[in-house]
Amino acid sequence: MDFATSSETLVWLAKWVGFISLVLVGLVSIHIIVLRYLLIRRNRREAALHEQWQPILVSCLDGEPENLPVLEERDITSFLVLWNYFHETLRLAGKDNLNAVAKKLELDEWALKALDDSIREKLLAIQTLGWLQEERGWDELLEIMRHASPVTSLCAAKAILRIDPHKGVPLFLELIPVRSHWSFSTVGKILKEAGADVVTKPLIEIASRHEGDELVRLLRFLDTAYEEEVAPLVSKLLRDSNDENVLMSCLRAVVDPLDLPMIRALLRHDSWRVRTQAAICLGELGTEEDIPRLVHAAGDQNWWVRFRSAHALAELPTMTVPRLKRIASEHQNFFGSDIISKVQKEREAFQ
Amino acid sequence: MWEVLLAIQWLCLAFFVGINVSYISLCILSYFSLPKIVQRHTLLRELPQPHTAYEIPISLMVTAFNEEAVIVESIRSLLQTDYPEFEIVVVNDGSKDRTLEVLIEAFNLIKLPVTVQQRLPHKPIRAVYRSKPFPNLRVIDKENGGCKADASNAGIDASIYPLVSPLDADTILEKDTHKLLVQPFLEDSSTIAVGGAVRIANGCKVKEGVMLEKSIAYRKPLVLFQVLEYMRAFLFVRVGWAALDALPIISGAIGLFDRNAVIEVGGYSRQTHAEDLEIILRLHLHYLDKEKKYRIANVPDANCWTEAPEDYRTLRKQRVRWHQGFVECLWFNRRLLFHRKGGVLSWVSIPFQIIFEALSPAIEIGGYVSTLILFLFGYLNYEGAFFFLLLSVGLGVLLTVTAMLLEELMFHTYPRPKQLLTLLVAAFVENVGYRQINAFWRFTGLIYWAIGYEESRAMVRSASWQNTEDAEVPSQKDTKDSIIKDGQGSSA
Repeated sequence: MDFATSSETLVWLAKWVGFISLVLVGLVSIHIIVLRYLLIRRNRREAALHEQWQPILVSCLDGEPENLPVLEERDITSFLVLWNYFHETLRLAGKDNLNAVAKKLELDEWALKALDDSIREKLLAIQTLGWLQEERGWDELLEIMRHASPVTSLCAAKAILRIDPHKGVPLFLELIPVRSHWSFSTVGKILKEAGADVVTKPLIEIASRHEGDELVRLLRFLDTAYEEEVAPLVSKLLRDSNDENVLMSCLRAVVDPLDLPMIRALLRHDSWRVRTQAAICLGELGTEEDIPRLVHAAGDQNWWVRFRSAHALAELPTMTVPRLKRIASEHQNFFGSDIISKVQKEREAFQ
Repeated sequence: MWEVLLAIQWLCLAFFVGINVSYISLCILSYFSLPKIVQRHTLLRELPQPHTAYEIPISLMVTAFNEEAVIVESIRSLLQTDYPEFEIVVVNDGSKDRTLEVLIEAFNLIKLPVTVQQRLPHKPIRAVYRSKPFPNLRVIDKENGGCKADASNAGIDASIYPLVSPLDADTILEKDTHKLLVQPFLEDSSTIAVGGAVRIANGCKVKEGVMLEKSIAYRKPLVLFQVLEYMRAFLFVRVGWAALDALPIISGAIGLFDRNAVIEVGGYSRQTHAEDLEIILRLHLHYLDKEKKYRIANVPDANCWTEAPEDYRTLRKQRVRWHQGFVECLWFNRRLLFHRKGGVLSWVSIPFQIIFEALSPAIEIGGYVSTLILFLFGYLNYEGAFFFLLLSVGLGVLLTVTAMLLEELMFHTYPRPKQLLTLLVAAFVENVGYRQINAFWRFTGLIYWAIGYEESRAMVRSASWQNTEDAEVPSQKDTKDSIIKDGQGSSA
């Protein structure tokens, strides 16, 4: 029994590693308890801070508050979370007064310094500089927007567009085709907040310089621009492009009935995804003239094209349930007849 | 004979060193990666986030078999989901009770013709219902398929949005769970699946599907031990593997999938006890074979709460089934092991799963048996045995308290100091008895897999934490028992 009786080194190791691990357990447990104690203290302090500052920030709705209490250095981040929260929820007049409060407390200076801090402070500082429209942070924010991780760079983009949307939007749009990891939900949110006035022109200009996937990434945001101004670009792409994804993006953005001939042509495209999107489009823009096309598409070999064509048919302004029923019964193709009949029954049930 | 025992003891020692080094490494990895993930979501949680039209729409898919007692509350809770565009697809998997009827009554469902394109294998759909007051709620009534996979496949076929989130009927979601889960899809278009963290709801105050107070079941040691197990599994094991981009599994209780990816691999497998684990391994294998870029991510702060077994018998059944299913899944997808394109997943994570997860109960039980034999024949070195026991308990507790430290640093889930202290005590106690019995259950699962044994599949769940005012003493009146077909409960 060598192992059980004579492996003294192993037993010695087991003994000391065992003791050390128990000591570590004790230390980690104490650490947890200390952390909980600090958390309770921090929560109490935050509650007191909220009690003191909330009425003051609420009063920003009526005017610039005077006689502000002293804000201690260690309370700045908690205060800024509250301040940013108010900024996200208050309207225009209140925002100016909130900014005045922050300037009086010299939080602009804190935010400029905190751009190099840990991630939470950094994000808070970026947000704060954006709301304060603090131009002194522009260069550093631009650097962050261009090179930082997706979350931080998008936070910086939002701040930049708040500081100077006219200057910021083209710089931001230039990055969209290349920053493929950017969340398009956040990008869309930022562009919507900037407004169609500043987005439309540079978006059209930058989109016309790109193609392929890069163009598709930009086309996702066509709805943040003025419809009538992007319509020529959409028409041009529908006419000239062969890229399936470009066509899909354009079909999602198309609003001009003058594009109907191109949409109708795309209902015969090789890609079923394009045919499906064209059918959806015809449901929104189509006329009486499109009924035979959609009836035919309802018999397509692809299930989704059939499904969307049947729904598009039902969406047409002149379509009625009895007419849909008649079309279903007269359809030559079994699948077409079946799907139109199902859509008709669904419409009937919810009428 | 003695040589064999000696070899077993050395094997156990090597295994012991290996498993602890691996877990400590995962722990260190998650200690450094967890703060980055959580801090990214901090402002999302702290500041109001207006919706835009750009969030990817999601289908919340609930499979229900004999869920008459809880289904209406669950759906009411899901209808309150804070997400801009979502639908709820409830799949009634041929329930024998009044599940369908209570849904029809509660949500004014109207029967529609079946417009579902069948692309995945499942039993026929009998009817599709849509709610008049809630147009985003549909109920799919299908023939019973005998397993959750069959119902899930029907749900995926019927869902219309690009992302699908399979849920259990008794799962409780936090308000921002799906907002957090969708983030990896927004950040990286190659994401095909995302997992969240599962927490134990026993002891919590829940009303009408909404979490009122997070707590623990103080007087139920089995539940407390499971709270610690889930903490370890979700706070450092999965976070650690995700940091290496080698996450082998995500929980079936909370996940978000690219619907097309699931359809591409043929949906859930109906041949396994753990279809929710199996599909992740199959997704890995499929994408590696096709050499397509993909990502399976983990969001540790996207929480869902689920009921844990409170009695010995149910817990035993669950653990036996989980382990049997786990080994089955690894076996079905054994080509993942040392896959030439698999990187860390195939060369580190999968070997780890095989040695330290799948085979570990056999080695652990082997260690206990050989020690017992040595003891019976008077050959045990008591001093050595004591110190190895000390080492085993010490490292076991150390891993648990480190998971608790991560929990305290990041989430502070349990607000009362009493809860924290109770869990600290449980971290010690679980090493005596519970760990060993757990190893035995998992060993049974391993044996069942080896011999192809099928255990009875009925499992009792007591949703006693639902609609209770007092978390510690659940009222008998509110206690609902539901028999859940095995496989309807998700593997953690």
